[in-house]
Amino acid sequence: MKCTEVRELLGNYMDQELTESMMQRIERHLLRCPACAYEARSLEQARQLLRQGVETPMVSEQLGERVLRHIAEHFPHLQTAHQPEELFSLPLLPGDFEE
Amino acid sequence: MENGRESEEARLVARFRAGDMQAVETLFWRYADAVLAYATRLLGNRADAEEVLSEVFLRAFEGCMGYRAEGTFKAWLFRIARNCCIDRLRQPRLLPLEDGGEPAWGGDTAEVDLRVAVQRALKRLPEEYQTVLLLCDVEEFTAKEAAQIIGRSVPSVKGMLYRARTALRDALSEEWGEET
Repeated sequence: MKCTEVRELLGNYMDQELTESMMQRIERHLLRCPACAYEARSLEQARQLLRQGVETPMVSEQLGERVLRHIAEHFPHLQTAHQPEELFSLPLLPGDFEE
Repeated sequence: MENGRESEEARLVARFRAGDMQAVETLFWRYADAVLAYATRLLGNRADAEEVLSEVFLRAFEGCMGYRAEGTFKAWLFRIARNCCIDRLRQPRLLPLEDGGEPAWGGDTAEVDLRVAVQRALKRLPEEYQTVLLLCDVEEFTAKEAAQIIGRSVPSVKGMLYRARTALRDALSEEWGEET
Protein backbone atom coordinates (compact mmCIF):
# COMPACT_ATOMS: atom_id res chain seq x y z
CA MET A 1 0.00 0.00 0.00
CA LYS A 2 1.09 3.56 -0.61
CA CYS A 3 1.31 6.09 2.21
CA THR A 4 -1.44 8.24 0.65
CA GLU A 5 -3.82 5.26 0.65
CA VAL A 6 -2.96 4.46 4.25
CA ARG A 7 -3.51 8.06 5.37
CA GLU A 8 -6.93 8.08 3.73
CA LEU A 9 -7.93 4.98 5.64
CA LEU A 10 -6.28 5.85 8.94
CA GLY A 11 -9.48 7.24 10.48
CA ASN A 12 -11.38 4.06 9.62
CA TYR A 13 -8.43 2.05 10.91
CA MET A 14 -8.53 3.87 14.25
CA ASP A 15 -12.27 3.23 14.48
CA GLN A 16 -11.82 -0.39 13.37
CA GLU A 17 -14.26 0.10 10.55
CA LEU A 18 -12.28 -1.86 7.96
CA THR A 19 -12.33 -5.48 6.95
CA GLU A 20 -9.89 -7.74 8.76
CA SER A 21 -7.73 -8.13 5.66
CA MET A 22 -7.55 -4.36 5.18
CA MET A 23 -6.68 -3.85 8.86
CA GLN A 24 -3.84 -6.33 8.42
CA ARG A 25 -2.59 -4.62 5.27
CA ILE A 26 -2.45 -1.31 7.09
CA GLU A 27 -0.71 -2.86 10.09
CA ARG A 28 1.90 -4.36 7.79
CA HIS A 29 2.45 -0.93 6.24
CA LEU A 30 2.76 0.71 9.68
CA LEU A 31 5.49 -1.77 10.62
CA ARG A 32 7.54 -0.71 7.62
CA CYS A 33 6.77 3.01 7.45
CA PRO A 34 7.90 5.17 10.41
CA ALA A 35 6.08 8.28 9.13
CA CYS A 36 2.70 6.57 8.89
CA ALA A 37 3.34 4.72 12.16
CA TYR A 38 4.00 8.07 13.89
CA GLU A 39 0.82 9.50 12.35
CA ALA A 40 -1.29 6.59 13.60
CA ARG A 41 0.29 6.49 17.06
CA SER A 42 0.15 10.24 17.67
CA LEU A 43 -3.49 10.50 16.58
CA GLU A 44 -4.44 7.64 18.89
CA GLN A 45 -2.51 9.26 21.75
CA ALA A 46 -4.34 12.55 21.17
CA ARG A 47 -7.65 10.70 21.28
CA GLN A 48 -6.72 9.01 24.56
CA LEU A 49 -5.60 12.34 26.06
CA LEU A 50 -8.88 13.91 25.00
CA ARG A 51 -10.86 11.15 26.71
CA GLN A 52 -8.81 11.43 29.88
CA GLY A 53 -8.66 15.21 29.92
CA VAL A 54 -12.19 16.39 29.23
CA GLU A 55 -14.21 17.66 32.12
CA THR A 56 -16.90 15.25 33.33
CA PRO A 57 -19.32 17.25 35.47
CA MET A 58 -22.33 15.55 37.01
CA VAL A 59 -25.80 16.97 37.45
CA SER A 60 -26.40 17.56 41.14
CA GLU A 61 -29.71 16.51 42.64
CA GLN A 62 -30.46 20.19 43.27
CA LEU A 63 -29.85 21.15 39.64
CA GLY A 64 -31.82 18.16 38.38
CA GLU A 65 -34.72 19.04 40.67
CA ARG A 66 -34.69 22.61 39.39
CA VAL A 67 -34.74 21.55 35.74
CA LEU A 68 -37.50 18.98 36.32
CA ARG A 69 -39.59 21.54 38.19
CA HIS A 70 -39.09 23.93 35.29
CA ILE A 71 -40.26 21.26 32.85
CA ALA A 72 -43.28 20.41 35.01
CA GLU A 73 -44.25 24.08 35.14
CA HIS A 74 -43.81 24.45 31.41
CA PHE A 75 -46.12 21.55 30.54
CA PRO A 76 -49.38 21.87 32.46
CA HIS A 77 -50.55 18.43 31.44
CA LEU A 78 -47.65 16.96 33.45
CA GLN A 79 -48.61 18.79 36.59
CA THR A 80 -51.96 17.08 36.60
CA ALA A 81 -50.22 13.70 36.57
CA HIS A 82 -47.65 14.30 39.33
CA GLN A 83 -46.76 17.11 41.64
CA PRO A 84 -43.09 18.12 41.20
CA GLU A 85 -42.45 17.61 44.91
CA GLU A 86 -43.28 13.94 44.50
CA LEU A 87 -40.72 13.33 41.79
CA PHE A 88 -37.77 12.48 43.94
CA SER A 89 -39.55 10.06 46.14
CA LEU A 90 -39.89 7.71 43.18
CA PRO A 91 -37.06 5.21 42.73
CA LEU A 92 -35.40 5.03 39.33
CA LEU A 93 -34.80 1.42 38.49
CA PRO A 94 -33.74 -0.15 35.20
CA GLY A 95 -36.74 -1.63 33.50
CA ASP A 96 -39.06 0.28 35.80
CA PHE A 97 -40.88 1.70 32.83
CA GLU A 98 -41.46 -1.40 30.77
CA GLU A 99 -45.08 -1.78 29.89
CA MET B 1 -30.13 -4.04 22.15
CA GLU B 2 -30.01 -0.55 20.63
CA ASN B 3 -33.39 -1.22 19.01
CA GLY B 4 -34.73 -2.30 22.39
CA ARG B 5 -33.61 0.98 23.92
CA GLU B 6 -35.06 2.94 21.00
CA SER B 7 -38.46 1.31 21.36
CA GLU B 8 -38.37 1.75 25.14
CA GLU B 9 -37.61 5.44 24.64
CA ALA B 10 -40.39 5.76 22.07
CA ARG B 11 -42.74 4.39 24.76
CA LEU B 12 -41.37 6.88 27.28
CA VAL B 13 -41.99 9.72 24.84
CA ALA B 14 -45.56 8.48 24.35
CA ARG B 15 -46.01 8.43 28.13
CA PHE B 16 -44.70 11.99 28.36
CA ARG B 17 -47.31 13.04 25.80
CA ALA B 18 -49.94 11.35 27.93
CA GLY B 19 -48.83 13.41 30.94
CA ASP B 20 -46.57 10.96 32.78
CA MET B 21 -43.95 12.96 34.69
CA GLN B 22 -42.15 9.77 35.64
CA ALA B 23 -41.29 9.22 31.96
CA VAL B 24 -39.81 12.72 31.83
CA GLU B 25 -37.75 11.95 34.90
CA THR B 26 -36.41 8.73 33.40
CA LEU B 27 -35.35 10.36 30.14
CA PHE B 28 -33.87 13.33 31.98
CA TRP B 29 -31.71 11.36 34.42
CA ARG B 30 -30.62 8.94 31.70
CA TYR B 31 -28.95 11.73 29.70
CA ALA B 32 -28.58 14.73 32.02
CA ASP B 33 -24.93 14.08 32.94
CA ALA B 34 -23.93 13.48 29.32
CA VAL B 35 -25.68 16.63 28.09
CA LEU B 36 -24.18 18.76 30.87
CA ALA B 37 -20.71 17.40 30.16
CA TYR B 38 -21.06 17.98 26.42
CA ALA B 39 -22.29 21.55 26.93
CA THR B 40 -19.56 22.30 29.48
CA ARG B 41 -16.88 21.09 27.08
CA LEU B 42 -18.32 22.99 24.13
CA LEU B 43 -19.04 26.23 26.00
CA GLY B 44 -15.93 26.11 28.16
CA ASN B 45 -17.72 26.97 31.38
CA ARG B 46 -20.16 25.21 33.65
CA ALA B 47 -22.46 28.11 34.52
CA ASP B 48 -23.57 28.53 30.92
CA ALA B 49 -23.78 24.77 30.51
CA GLU B 50 -26.19 24.50 33.45
CA GLU B 51 -28.47 27.09 31.86
CA VAL B 52 -28.25 25.30 28.54
CA LEU B 53 -29.16 22.00 30.22
CA SER B 54 -32.57 23.30 31.17
CA GLU B 55 -33.11 24.79 27.72
CA VAL B 56 -32.11 21.55 25.98
CA PHE B 57 -34.61 19.42 27.87
CA LEU B 58 -37.37 21.99 27.52
CA ARG B 59 -36.83 22.16 23.78
CA ALA B 60 -36.56 18.38 23.62
CA PHE B 61 -39.90 17.82 25.35
CA GLU B 62 -41.52 20.58 23.31
CA GLY B 63 -40.28 18.79 20.22
CA CYS B 64 -41.46 15.43 21.50
CA MET B 65 -44.88 16.10 20.07
CA GLY B 66 -43.32 15.89 16.61
CA TYR B 67 -40.60 13.38 17.50
CA ARG B 68 -40.40 10.37 15.27
CA ALA B 69 -38.03 7.58 16.13
CA GLU B 70 -35.44 8.42 13.47
CA GLY B 71 -32.22 7.43 15.16
CA THR B 72 -31.83 7.37 18.90
CA PHE B 73 -33.38 9.75 21.39
CA LYS B 74 -29.85 10.48 22.61
CA ALA B 75 -28.69 11.56 19.14
CA TRP B 76 -31.74 13.78 18.81
CA LEU B 77 -31.09 15.29 22.26
CA PHE B 78 -27.47 16.03 21.38
CA ARG B 79 -28.57 17.72 18.19
CA ILE B 80 -30.68 20.09 20.26
CA ALA B 81 -27.81 20.51 22.75
CA ARG B 82 -25.41 21.46 19.98
CA ASN B 83 -27.85 24.02 18.57
CA CYS B 84 -28.42 25.51 22.03
CA CYS B 85 -24.64 25.77 22.59
CA ILE B 86 -24.10 27.43 19.22
CA ASP B 87 -26.88 29.93 20.00
CA ARG B 88 -25.24 30.61 23.35
CA LEU B 89 -21.79 31.07 21.81
CA ARG B 90 -23.21 33.56 19.32
CA GLN B 91 -24.78 35.74 21.99
CA PRO B 92 -22.88 38.98 22.59
CA ARG B 93 -21.33 39.11 26.04
CA LEU B 94 -20.73 41.97 28.40
CA LEU B 95 -18.11 39.95 30.22
CA PRO B 96 -15.58 37.59 28.63
CA LEU B 97 -15.95 33.86 29.07
CA GLU B 98 -13.70 32.11 31.52
CA ASP B 99 -10.51 31.51 29.66
CA GLY B 100 -8.39 28.62 30.76
CA GLY B 101 -7.93 30.00 34.24
CA GLU B 102 -7.36 27.91 37.31
CA PRO B 103 -9.71 24.96 36.96
CA ALA B 104 -12.36 24.26 39.56
CA TRP B 105 -11.69 20.51 39.58
CA GLY B 106 -9.65 18.67 42.12
CA GLY B 107 -7.11 15.99 41.40
CA ASP B 108 -3.35 15.74 41.35
CA THR B 109 -1.16 18.17 39.44
CA ALA B 110 -0.67 15.94 36.41
CA GLU B 111 -4.40 15.39 36.10
CA VAL B 112 -5.13 19.10 36.36
CA ASP B 113 -2.36 19.91 33.85
CA LEU B 114 -3.86 17.44 31.42
CA ARG B 115 -7.35 18.87 31.80
CA VAL B 116 -6.12 22.43 31.31
CA ALA B 117 -4.09 21.44 28.24
CA VAL B 118 -7.01 19.53 26.71
CA GLN B 119 -9.47 22.34 27.41
CA ARG B 120 -7.15 24.94 25.93
CA ALA B 121 -6.33 22.78 22.91
CA LEU B 122 -10.04 22.10 22.26
CA LYS B 123 -10.93 25.78 22.47
CA ARG B 124 -8.37 26.56 19.78
CA LEU B 125 -10.18 24.34 17.28
CA PRO B 126 -13.11 25.40 15.08
CA GLU B 127 -16.49 24.64 16.64
CA GLU B 128 -17.23 21.88 14.12
CA TYR B 129 -13.98 20.12 14.98
CA GLN B 130 -14.74 20.35 18.70
CA THR B 131 -18.22 18.99 18.09
CA VAL B 132 -17.16 16.02 16.02
CA LEU B 133 -14.37 15.11 18.46
CA LEU B 134 -16.67 15.32 21.47
CA LEU B 135 -19.41 13.34 19.74
CA CYS B 136 -17.29 10.59 18.18
CA ASP B 137 -14.23 10.28 20.42
CA VAL B 138 -15.72 11.14 23.82
CA GLU B 139 -19.42 10.29 23.64
CA GLU B 140 -18.69 7.45 21.21
CA PHE B 141 -21.46 8.18 18.77
CA THR B 142 -21.00 6.42 15.44
CA ALA B 143 -20.19 8.54 12.38
CA LYS B 144 -23.77 7.91 11.20
CA GLU B 145 -25.24 9.24 14.46
CA ALA B 146 -22.86 12.21 14.48
CA ALA B 147 -23.91 12.96 10.90
CA GLN B 148 -27.56 13.07 12.03
CA ILE B 149 -26.69 15.36 14.92
CA ILE B 150 -24.71 17.90 12.94
CA GLY B 151 -26.67 17.61 9.70
CA ARG B 152 -23.90 16.38 7.42
CA SER B 153 -23.25 13.28 5.36
CA VAL B 154 -21.37 10.32 6.87
CA PRO B 155 -18.33 10.72 4.54
CA SER B 156 -18.20 14.41 5.42
CA VAL B 157 -18.20 13.58 9.15
CA LYS B 158 -15.46 10.98 8.69
CA GLY B 159 -13.28 13.44 6.78
CA MET B 160 -13.91 16.15 9.34
CA LEU B 161 -13.12 13.77 12.18
CA TYR B 162 -9.74 12.93 10.70
CA ARG B 163 -8.88 16.61 10.25
CA ALA B 164 -10.12 17.36 13.76
CA ARG B 165 -7.98 14.61 15.29
CA THR B 166 -4.94 15.95 13.45
CA ALA B 167 -5.69 19.50 14.59
CA LEU B 168 -6.18 18.34 18.18
CA ARG B 169 -2.88 16.45 18.16
CA ASP B 170 -1.07 19.54 16.85
CA ALA B 171 -2.80 21.82 19.36
CA LEU B 172 -1.93 19.50 22.24
CA SER B 173 1.70 19.36 21.11
CA GLU B 174 1.81 23.15 21.10
CA GLU B 175 0.17 23.30 24.52
CA TRP B 176 2.99 21.20 25.88
CA GLY B 177 5.59 23.18 23.95
CA GLU B 178 6.60 20.28 21.78
CA GLU B 179 7.35 20.42 18.10
CA THR B 180 5.09 18.41 15.84
